Amino acid sequence: LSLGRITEFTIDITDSANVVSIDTVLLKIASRCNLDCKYCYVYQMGNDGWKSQPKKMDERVLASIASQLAALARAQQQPFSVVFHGGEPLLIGADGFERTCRILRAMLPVDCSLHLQTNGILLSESILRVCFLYDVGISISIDGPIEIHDANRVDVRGRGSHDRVLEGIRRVVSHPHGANLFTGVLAVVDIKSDPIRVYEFLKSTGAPSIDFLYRDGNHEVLPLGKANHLSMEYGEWMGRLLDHYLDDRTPTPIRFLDDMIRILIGGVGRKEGVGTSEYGILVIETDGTIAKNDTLKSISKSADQFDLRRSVATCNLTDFVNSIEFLDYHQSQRPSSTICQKCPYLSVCGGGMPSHRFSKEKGLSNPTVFCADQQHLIERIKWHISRRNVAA
Amino acid sequence: MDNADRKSEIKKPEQQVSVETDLLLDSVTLNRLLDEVRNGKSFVVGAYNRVHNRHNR
Repeated sequence: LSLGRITEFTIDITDSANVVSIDTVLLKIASRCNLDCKYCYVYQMGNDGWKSQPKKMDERVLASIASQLAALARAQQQPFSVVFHGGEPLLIGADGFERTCRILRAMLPVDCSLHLQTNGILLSESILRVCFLYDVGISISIDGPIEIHDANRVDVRGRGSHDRVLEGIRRVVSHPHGANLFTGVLAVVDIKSDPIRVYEFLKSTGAPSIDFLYRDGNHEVLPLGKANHLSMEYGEWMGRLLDHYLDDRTPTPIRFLDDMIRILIGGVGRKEGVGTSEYGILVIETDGTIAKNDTLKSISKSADQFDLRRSVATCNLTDFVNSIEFLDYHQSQRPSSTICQKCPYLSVCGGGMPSHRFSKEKGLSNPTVFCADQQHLIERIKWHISRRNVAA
Repeated sequence: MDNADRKSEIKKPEQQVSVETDLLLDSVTLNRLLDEVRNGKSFVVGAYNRVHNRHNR
């Protein structure tokens, strides 16, 4: 751990509208993974930053992070979620995970939540005990039935992981406090699959909620299965899911669709890449480096890095969050394309995720590469609402 | 470039808000979401959220 000089920033204190509030801190407690998923934006899209990271977060780095996050929470007077992420965060081991949770809980305000995003394979009874003791919500990545999941979510030997993931889910569901710990499953869309079959399978796991992600891509590298910028493969897949979801008498909430519907009936969204709410997302790498949202890794090797490499060990995190550089990053989520600004769907679509807007020519000032998909899906939702005689 | 210039360069889009009143509630999901919106159960960015999984998106 290098204790260099404290970095100084240009801090923006002139305009309260420019103050960023952090809502999600993605804590990379392990930089490697026990799976080798074919679509992974961390390992499979040309970014090899993980190679220079320590495999696990050092306890001294964690202590520094906990102290800085506590100060940040006090300064912004808003709680945030700390999400244990990787790689596979549980590669830190049960003892390391317990220490991590203990240190953070000791330092953070009680209204800051702890969450775990895991592939589920290492969800042992010991880990579940730690989750219960420190109130850690668990979200598990699973793509659907075995043939869909195992087509991409394989281990380093190429073996499917479905059986092992399901075992982890069963362990959570059958835990005496599982209902309080399990927050949901996260699935990456395979447009060749039957969305109804995928949904019904994910429901059958007992998950309290489902979230879907599109395959990552941008205007330079189209997401897998998308023929061109005007094609709507992902929107049509999600539209078929929507039709079934809205007719389901015993639905499991689908976060992606709920957000869009909620906005269309007068509410607000909760998900980056949907609607125009702004999110304060901060990533801390295993060595303590502060980074941008790691989904930007899908653009290039350095897209998720700030201009100067900064560590929580050597800079004041609260000052950095209030700096011009962080503000610039934060505002990059605003849809800046003139096409988006004129689009009647903008308040629902939000211009999509920043990483999906990228082109070499215009950077992030483009509509999402899923623009046609989003329009198709929004129209489909509007049709469902109007069919039910909604009076605007 | 000062902060005022930065703010004018990238406009924050306005939130579309509409209040729907006569929805035929034959959909469990639409019923739930309408109830959330009508009763102000909307999410506050940064608030403690146990309802949904949290990740990086």
